[in-house]
Amino acid sequence: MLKWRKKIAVILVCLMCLTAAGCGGSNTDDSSGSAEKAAENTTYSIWIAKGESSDYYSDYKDNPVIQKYLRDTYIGKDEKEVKIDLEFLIPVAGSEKDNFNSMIATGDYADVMGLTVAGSSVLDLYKEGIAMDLTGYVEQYMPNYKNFLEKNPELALTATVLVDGEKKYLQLFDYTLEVDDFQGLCYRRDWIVKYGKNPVTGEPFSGECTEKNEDGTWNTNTWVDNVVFPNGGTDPVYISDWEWMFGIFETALADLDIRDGYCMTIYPSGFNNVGVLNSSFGGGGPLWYKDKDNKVAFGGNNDEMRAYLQCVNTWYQNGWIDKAFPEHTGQLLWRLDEGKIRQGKVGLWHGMSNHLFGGLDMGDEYTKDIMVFACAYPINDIYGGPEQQYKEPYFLYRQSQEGPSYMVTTKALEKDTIALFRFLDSLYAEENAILNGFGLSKEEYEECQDPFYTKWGLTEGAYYDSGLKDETGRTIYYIDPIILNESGALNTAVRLNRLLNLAGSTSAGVVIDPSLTDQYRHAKNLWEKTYENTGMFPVSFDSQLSSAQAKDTSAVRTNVEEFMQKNLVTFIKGPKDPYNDSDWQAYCNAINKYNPDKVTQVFQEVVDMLK
Amino acid sequence: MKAKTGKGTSAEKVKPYIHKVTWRQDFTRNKALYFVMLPCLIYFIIFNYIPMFGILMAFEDFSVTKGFFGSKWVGFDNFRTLFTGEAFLTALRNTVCMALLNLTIGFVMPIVFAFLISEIRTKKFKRSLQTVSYMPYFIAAVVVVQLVKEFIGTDGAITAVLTLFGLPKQNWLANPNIPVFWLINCLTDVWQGMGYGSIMYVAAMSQVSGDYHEAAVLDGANRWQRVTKITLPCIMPTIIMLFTLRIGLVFVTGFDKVLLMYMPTTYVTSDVLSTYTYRMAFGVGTPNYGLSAASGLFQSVVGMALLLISNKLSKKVTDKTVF
Amino acid sequence: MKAKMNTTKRETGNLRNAGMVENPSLIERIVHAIIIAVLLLIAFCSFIPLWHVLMASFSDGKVLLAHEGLLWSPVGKASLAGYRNVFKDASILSGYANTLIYVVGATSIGMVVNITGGYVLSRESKLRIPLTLMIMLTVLFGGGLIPTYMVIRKLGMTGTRLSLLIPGCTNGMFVIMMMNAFRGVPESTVESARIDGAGHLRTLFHIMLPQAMSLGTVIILNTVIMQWNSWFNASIYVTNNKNLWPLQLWIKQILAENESFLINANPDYSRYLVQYALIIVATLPILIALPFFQEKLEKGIIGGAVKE
Repeated sequence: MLKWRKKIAVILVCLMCLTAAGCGGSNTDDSSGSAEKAAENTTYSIWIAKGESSDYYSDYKDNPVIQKYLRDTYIGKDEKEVKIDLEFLIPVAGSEKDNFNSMIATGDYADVMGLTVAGSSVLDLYKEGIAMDLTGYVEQYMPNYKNFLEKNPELALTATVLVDGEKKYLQLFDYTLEVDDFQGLCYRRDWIVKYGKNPVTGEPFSGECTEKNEDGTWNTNTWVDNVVFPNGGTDPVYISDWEWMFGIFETALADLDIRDGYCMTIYPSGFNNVGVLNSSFGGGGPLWYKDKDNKVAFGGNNDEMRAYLQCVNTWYQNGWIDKAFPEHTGQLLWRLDEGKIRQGKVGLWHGMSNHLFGGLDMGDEYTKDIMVFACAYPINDIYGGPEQQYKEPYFLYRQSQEGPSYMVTTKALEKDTIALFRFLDSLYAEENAILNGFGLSKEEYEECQDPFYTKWGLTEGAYYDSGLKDETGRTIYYIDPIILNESGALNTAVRLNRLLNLAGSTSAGVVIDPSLTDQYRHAKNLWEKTYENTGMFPVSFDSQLSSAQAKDTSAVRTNVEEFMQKNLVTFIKGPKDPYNDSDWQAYCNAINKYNPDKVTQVFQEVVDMLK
Repeated sequence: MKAKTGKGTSAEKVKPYIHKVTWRQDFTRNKALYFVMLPCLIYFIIFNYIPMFGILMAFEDFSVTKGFFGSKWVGFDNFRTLFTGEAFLTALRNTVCMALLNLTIGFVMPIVFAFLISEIRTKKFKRSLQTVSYMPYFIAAVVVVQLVKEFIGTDGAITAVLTLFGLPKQNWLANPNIPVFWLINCLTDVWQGMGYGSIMYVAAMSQVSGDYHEAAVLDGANRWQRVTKITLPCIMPTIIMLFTLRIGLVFVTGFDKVLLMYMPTTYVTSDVLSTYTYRMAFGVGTPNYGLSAASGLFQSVVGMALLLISNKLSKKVTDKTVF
Repeated sequence: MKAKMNTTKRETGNLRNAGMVENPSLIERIVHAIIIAVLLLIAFCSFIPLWHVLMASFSDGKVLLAHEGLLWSPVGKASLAGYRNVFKDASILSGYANTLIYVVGATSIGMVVNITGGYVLSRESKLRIPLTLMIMLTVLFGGGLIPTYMVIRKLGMTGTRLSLLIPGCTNGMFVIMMMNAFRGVPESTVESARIDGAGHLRTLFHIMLPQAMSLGTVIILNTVIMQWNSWFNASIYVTNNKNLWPLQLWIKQILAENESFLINANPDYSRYLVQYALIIVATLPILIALPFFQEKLEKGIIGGAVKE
C-alpha cells in the first residue's frame, strides 16, 4: 500500500512538470516565412468565421492569393512603404457565436472581424467603442471601394449607416461584380420525355443527346427534345404546368418502382423565410417584404399565404410531396435530402448547378442517362382569387452582389491604420477582381511558384485564356480542369473566398467553366433573370435599424417565426385545413396577437428613410 | 436481517459537539484541517464563485458590448418574458415529464442490471458482460442521436420489430403523440447509461459480506428473498445518495440529446426548457443573453429546492443525509 | 480469523449446493436461465449499434448512403477509404496525444482537490456545514460561458494547456461523493490513527484513502470519461492553437469539414464514411482499455471492502 502511494506521488510530480512544460510551448507557431519583414505595428489580426478545410492548408495565411497580397508593399503612415503581415483567427465549426462573443466581452478582439455571427448590430458595436468609424479612412485611403459604390448606387444605399443624422461607414462589405446563382429549381426532363405525352396532340415525346464525347459517351450538353408544356412553351411557367409534371413523375416513380422517392419536397417548417414557392401566389414572401411601390407588407397571414397553403395541401393529399418533409431539419434549402437527389429518386427539387444536365449521372440504377433541366419558380393560375393569380414573383432567393460585412475595431488604432486601409482597398481594385474571384493566372503563378498551386498541379494557373471572346468583346478564360474535377473544395481554396474583397469577372475578361453551353446559359437565365427580385431586404438592411428599432422588432420576429414554424406544417400535413375558414381565421387571429404590424411599421420607416 | 453498514455517521451525533465548541477553540483544534482544505477552496472560489457574477445577466438587458456592469438593469423582466412565452408551459410540462421518467425508469434500470449481473458466478462471463454494457456510454451524443435516427426511422431495425407487434410503421422520432418522444429520450438514456451506471451498484453489492448470503441460504431463502432482504438494504445508502443527487440535477441536465432529436412537428412533446430558451434567446435577430441566463437561473433555483427537499426527505426516511 | 474464513468458504460451497438440492432445482435453473437470457439480450443491444458503426466504416460510401437498416457486414466493396481519410494528416494522432495529457493531468489535479476537499468535509468542525453548502451550490449555479472565459483570460491561461487541465478538472459532485466515501470509514479507525499521533495528511493518505478508494476509483473513472469526451472548453480556450487540440475537437472539426461532400460535382463518397470511422477511432481505445481498468476497479473495490 505504501508503494502504491509513492507511485501516485511520483506520477503527480511528473505531471506537474509536464503541465509546466506544456504551457510553455503552446503559442501559435509561425508557418510562412514572409513574416520576418513585417513590423509589429503592421501585423494585423483578422477574425473570419470560417477558413478552408485542412485538406488544403490549416492556416488561412497560406492561401495563395493572400500570399500574393503579402508580397506587395503598402504605403503606411509617414508615407513610408511597409510590408504587412496577417494573423487569421478562425473559430471551431459550431462555436463561432460563442467565440465571437467571448472576444467582444473580454475586450480581446482582432483588428478586423467578420460580422456574420455578431450578437449586436454594428451600430451598437460602434456606440460601445468597439467598431471604428471608417468614414474618414474610406474617403481618404480607399478609392477603389468608393469607386465601386459609385458605380452601384443601390448597394451604396446600405453601405452606410445613419448615426445621429449623419451617414457613416461603419462596416466594409464583401462584394461581387457578377452574380452567378449556383442554385435553383431542377427537374428530371428525362422522365418527362419518357413518361409524358404532348398535352395537345397526345403524342409521346422524344429526346436524346446529339453529340458524343471523345471517349464515346454521350455529351449531355447536347440534349435536344420536343417537350411541350401545357402553357405552350418548352419550359414550365404556371402551377398548372407543375401539376401536369407531377402527374408524369407519379407515373415514373410507379413504373420504376421507387418506393421511397417523391415528386418534390418542401422546406421542413412548411415555408422558408427566403420565400421560394410562396412568391408564386401573388409575388410577395411569407414574412416581411416590400412590394413594387416600396410598401412593406407582412405575408404570414394574408390571402397569398392561404392560396400557397391550399396548393401545397392539395399536392400533399395527392401524394406528390415527400411525406417526410418535416424531418429534414437542419438542412439548407438547396440541399434538402440531397442523398435522395443523388440517387435519382426525386422529380423536382431546389438544387445546384452541378445537378444540371448529366451532372447526377453516376451510372446507378436510377441515375443512368438522367437529364436535368432548370426552371423558374412558377406563377399561380389555379388557387385563390384573382389577386393571387398571374402575378410574377418578386420575392426570390438570389445571390446578391452584397456579401457579408466586416468591421475594423478600435484595436487597430494602436497599429498603422493607414497601411491597413491601403491593403484593404487593394482588395477592391478592379484589376484584382479576377485574382480574388478565381485565383492566380499562369504568369502570376510563375512569378512566385506558390507551393500550394504546385502541390495540386496547377502550374498553368487557376484559369487559362481560351482564345475566344464573348459578345461584348471580353476575353473568355476557362477554369483549369484540375479544379473542376476535384471532388472537394479546391475551387474555393485556390481563390480568396473567406475574406472581404471585390471578386468576379471584370470588364476585361470573364472566367467560365468550359463545359458550359448555350443550354446552360438558358438554364442560368431561368434561375436568375426571369423575374426581378425587388421584394427582399438585403442582408445589410438589419444594420440600418437603430438600437431601439432592433429591440422592438426582435422579439416579435422571433415569436412570429416560431409560431409559423409550428403551425404551417399542420396546414399542409393536416389536421388543419387551409380551405376551412374557421381554421384559417383562428390561425390569423393567433398570429395577430404577436403584433406583426409593429415590425411592418418599423421596416417601412427604414425603407422610407433609405429612399 | 438488516445489515449494518457504518456509512454516514448520523447527524445527531455531530451536533452537540459543534454547539459546545467556540470559534477560537475550533480554529486551534482544526487549523491543520482547514489548511488541507485550501487547494480545494481556492479552486472553487476561482473557477466557480468568481464567474458567478454572470448570474447578473438574468436581471439585465445584457449586451455583449456593454458588459455585465454596463448593461441596463431590468429586474425580473427577463423572467416575465420567459414565463409568458407561448410555449413555456408546454416546455415546462415536457421537462417535468421527462425528468420523472428519468427518475423512475432511468434510475431503476441500472440497479436492476446490477442485480442481474451480480447473479452471475462465472467471473469471465461477468467481466465481459460488463465490458460490453459499458460500450454505449462512451459514444458521443451526436453519434447516439444519429444511431437513434437510423434505428427508429421509417426503415429502421427497431421500427421493423415494433411493426411485428402490430404498431404502424412510421418514423417514430416524428411522432408528436404524448409518450412517444419522452420514451425515446428515456430509453436512449437508459441504453447509454445502464451499464455504466451500474458500476457503483455492483461495487456496493460486492461489498456485501458473503456471510449474510450463506446464512440466508442456510435458512432456506430463495434468490428473490436474498435480493430483497439482504442485498437491497445493504446498498440502500448508495441508492439513497445517488437518488438524492439525481433529483437535484434531473431538472438541469440530460437534455443535450433533445436539441439534436427534436423538430418543429414534435415540439409539443419534445420541447424542453433548455431548447425553448435556446430558440427564444438565439433564434432570430439579436441574441438575448439575459433571457437565457434567466432561464438557467430558474432551473438552478428549482434544482436547488429539489435537492434540499430530497435531502430532508431522505433524512426522514432513512436517517441518512447527503449533506 | 483466516482459518475460519477458509472453512466457511468450503462450507459455503457445500451449502450452496445443498441449498439448490433442497429447493426445486427446476425453478432455480429456469430463473437463472432467464437472467442469463436477459443479460445476453442487453449485451446484444449494447453491442449491436457499435457493430453497425464498425461495419459502416468499412463499407463503400455510395452504397452506404442508399442503404437502410442494420448492417451485419460491410455493404458494397469493403474499403479502408474512410480510415485513410481520417488519418490523412497527423491531426488525429496529435489529438490523441493531447487528450492523453489532459486526461491524466486533469484527473490527477482533480483527485487532489477531491480528496483534500472530501476529507476535510468529512471531519467535524464548525466550518463543515457552510463549506459543504458552498461546494454543493457550485453544482447547481454557475455564471456561464462568458464570465468563466473572462476569469481564465485574466489568469493568462487562454491559449495554454493549463486552461484545459485546471478549470474543468472536477466539480462539486465529486467532492461531495468523496466526502461520503470518507464518512463511511469507521470512526474507530480514525481515532486509533490519531491516538498514534498521525497528523491530518498522514491519516488521510495512509489510513482513510485506502478504505475510501472504492468510491474514489469510480470518481477517477468518471473524470477520465469526462475528459476524454470534452471538446467545448478546448473550442473556446485554445481555438487557434491547433497543436493543443484534444481528440474530440479534431473529430468535430473533421466532421464539419466533411459534412457537405455532396455539394461537389463528383462527390467523394469516402467522406461519408469519415463520420463512422471517426466514431471507431475515438471510442475503440477506451473500449480496449476498459478490461484493464475493470481489473484495477475491482482491486480497488475489494481493497476498500476490507475493514477492521
